Amino acid sequence: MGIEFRHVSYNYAKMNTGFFQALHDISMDISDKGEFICLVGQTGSGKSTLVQHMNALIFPSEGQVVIEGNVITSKRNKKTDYNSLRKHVGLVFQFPEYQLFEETVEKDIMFGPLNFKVPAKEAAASAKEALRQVGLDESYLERSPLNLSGGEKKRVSIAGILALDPDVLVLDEPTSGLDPAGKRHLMELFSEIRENTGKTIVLITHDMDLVYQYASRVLVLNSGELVFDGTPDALFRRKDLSENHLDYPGVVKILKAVKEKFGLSEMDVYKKTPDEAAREIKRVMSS
Amino acid sequence: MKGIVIGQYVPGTGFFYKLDPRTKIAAVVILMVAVFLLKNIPQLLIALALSIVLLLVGRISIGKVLNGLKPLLVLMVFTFFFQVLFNTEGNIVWQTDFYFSLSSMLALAALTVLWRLLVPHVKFRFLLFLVYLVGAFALLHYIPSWYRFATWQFVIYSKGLEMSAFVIIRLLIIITFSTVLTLTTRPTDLTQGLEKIMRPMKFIGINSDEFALIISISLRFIPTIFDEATKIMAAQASRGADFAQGKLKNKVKQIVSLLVPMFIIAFKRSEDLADAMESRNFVPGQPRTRIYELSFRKADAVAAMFIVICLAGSIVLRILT
Amino acid sequence: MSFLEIRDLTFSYTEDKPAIDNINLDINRGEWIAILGPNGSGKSTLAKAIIGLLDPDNGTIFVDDMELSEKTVAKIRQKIGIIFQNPDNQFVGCTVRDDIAFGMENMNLSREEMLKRIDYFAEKTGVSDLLDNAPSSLSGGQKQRVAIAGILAMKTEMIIFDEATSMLDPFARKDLMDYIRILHDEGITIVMITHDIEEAMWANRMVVMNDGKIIREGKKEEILKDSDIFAKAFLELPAAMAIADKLGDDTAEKAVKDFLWELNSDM
Repeated sequence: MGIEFRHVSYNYAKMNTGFFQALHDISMDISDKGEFICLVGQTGSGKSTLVQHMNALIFPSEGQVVIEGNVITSKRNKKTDYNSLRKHVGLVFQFPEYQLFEETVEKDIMFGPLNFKVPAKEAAASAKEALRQVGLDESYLERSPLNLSGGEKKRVSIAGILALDPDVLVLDEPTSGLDPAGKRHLMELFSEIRENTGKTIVLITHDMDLVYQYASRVLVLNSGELVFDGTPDALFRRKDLSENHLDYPGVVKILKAVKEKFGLSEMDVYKKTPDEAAREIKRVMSS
Repeated sequence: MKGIVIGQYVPGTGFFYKLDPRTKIAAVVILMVAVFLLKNIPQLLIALALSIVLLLVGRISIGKVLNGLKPLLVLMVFTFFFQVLFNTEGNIVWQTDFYFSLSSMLALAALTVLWRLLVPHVKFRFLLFLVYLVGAFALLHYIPSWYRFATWQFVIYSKGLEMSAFVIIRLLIIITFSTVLTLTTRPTDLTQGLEKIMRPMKFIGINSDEFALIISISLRFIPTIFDEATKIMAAQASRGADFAQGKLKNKVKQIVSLLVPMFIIAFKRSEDLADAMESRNFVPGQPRTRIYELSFRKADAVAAMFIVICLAGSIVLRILT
Repeated sequence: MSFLEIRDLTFSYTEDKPAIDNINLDINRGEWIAILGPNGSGKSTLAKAIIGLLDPDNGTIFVDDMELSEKTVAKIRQKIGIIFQNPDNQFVGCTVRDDIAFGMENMNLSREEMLKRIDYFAEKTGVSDLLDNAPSSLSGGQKQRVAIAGILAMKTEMIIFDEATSMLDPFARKDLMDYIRILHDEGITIVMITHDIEEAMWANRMVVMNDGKIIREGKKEEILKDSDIFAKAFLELPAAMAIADKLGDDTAEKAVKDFLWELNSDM
């Protein structure tokens, strides 16, 4: 079923200046069939506002958001159980470690399922499974979530949402604050989840390298408008990246610099990893 | 909650903005004492009128002051009933019977349901509440009784009315004063004013400098904490914690899921702040110079005179009556 | 004599393992040092020890020929300032002006002197227009600038940045790094604690820490060539180096390799 945005706009009242339009006429579809979508844009472009529409935390001021067949408009519908939608679309905020509060990791991961009236036994099983999915072993279950390292906390809080078994997993800058190894580990995790379970992943990120390496689709927001919806390859071939406050992935930038410096007109700069880039350089240099 | 506004302060011009915060703080305290010295309603009404005149002179928006009253409306109704019900001195002003019967209870239930249904559609909820109250009392009196089980003789005595008017008018005056204080004084200035006024408390062992610093830092973090609370609520709501509904048992857990993270953040924050402050050579208890200096001006002299006259006036009135 | 000399410094939070173990390090005036290492390697602990926020178990610290002690700590904190990771948790004042003044107020400077320095350093750090703003209206990057202004106002000679950019978005990060370069050009000694190799590339000398110890220290070029160190410290080579690493040494490829080595991280 997935999520549909139909001409969605969102305004909110601002202190002295009337109101501010955070989102303007957004239309797009997100299926729940294994997409890997990256949502990018400058700080303040509306990304967080947009994703909070995806699990009905925020209602659109204009237009409709359709989640799992439920139509959401600016008016609250008494018949719709908005809370239950959050089981289907799991949203993990930036710095999710702040949401940990229970005495044990197990209890904290179970908090979500229990809220949705899942029986305790089943919830415990989901917690175990979710923990395994984020790469932590059972010994963590009895530990206090507040005594873990930063990276472990992050993973436990992501497990807390995975335990709900959502069809769409939305994450707001999940790798921020992690060192490079941690980033890589987490991204591989999401990739695996998508491959093994067919869930759709929507990721807000600033890291163009990650976008190029993992995304099948990129959404670009600029001042509340959706200015691009397509593949990363199509995005990075555009000329207006800097107007939209975006940058090229590191590897692409390096290849561009090499191409220009050495006048290598036949070099294909669109490579995703240092390995691929090195091979391309060798290829061009040997001819 | 962004921008220069913290709490209720609204930048502006006018007499009250020119006053030293110490004058304003002293004014609120002394004028409150003066008001409490007044013994009868006509005097209180004059005091109320004077406060309104002050607002107009100082060009303070009456709308903003009324906003400050909103949270207390229900308290005032409660006070009214409390005084009226339990005060049995004086002459009987009004008397009637309320009949509690099956029919009147059913009618009351129906009226209550009607009231709750109307609430989302009405702009002035307080007015609706008053209408509801009047209607409830009318029902209890006029509905023909089937299966009456109790009669309540409701009597309003003159003293009861007097006392409730007393309390309510005092409340109005006090709120007016304190609203003017917070409306026209920057939080930084307010804390500095408090700090200077509380200097003498050093003799009881309370360091007013540190106290003021703590208050000032707490004020500075209010918008930040508000944003964080909003984010945590959203995060827990995404895990199914429905803050709007739920049984009491669940509500406790939901509140815990909000409070524990807030406390953790607060502790981390205080550790970090302590490190930052210490690294900039802050030593608690040691004297520090300030970039702001409070100084009294002509306006303060005028205000001081006014305050003294009011206090003297009310002492005289108290003695005479 | 170096500006900062650390000898045999050891400190433990808990009984079992020292957070920093036998640290020996010299930092000269005007240098730009990057201290690299994974989370938990002791970088922040070292920073806190340098400005006397921690009482070491063992060892000494000399700043500008003064030994760090209770008597000298105030002077040393004037010479060395530190900018922490969380922009909010180091912003004390109700407004920008108040916050810049905080350090100077602690030093009991006169009002006139403080106001003069506030205007001067607010101008230098680009926050003059924000002097009356409350912190809640500022971005993370702006708050970090205000923190820098507050430290510069104490006539600081060295600034330690403890992962000061990790909570900022890439544009704010680049902005801050550009400004730090200006600071360096004006003579401020920079110590940058980070786990981001691209940021560390701006330094001329790198110190790699792991498990509380310094495992390698030296010029940027030497460190980058030592791939062993990177694995030990859980770091990744910057993309340009990673590519260069895979190229051969015949003339054509070597030219590209050398070019890649010169590419700065501020692309």
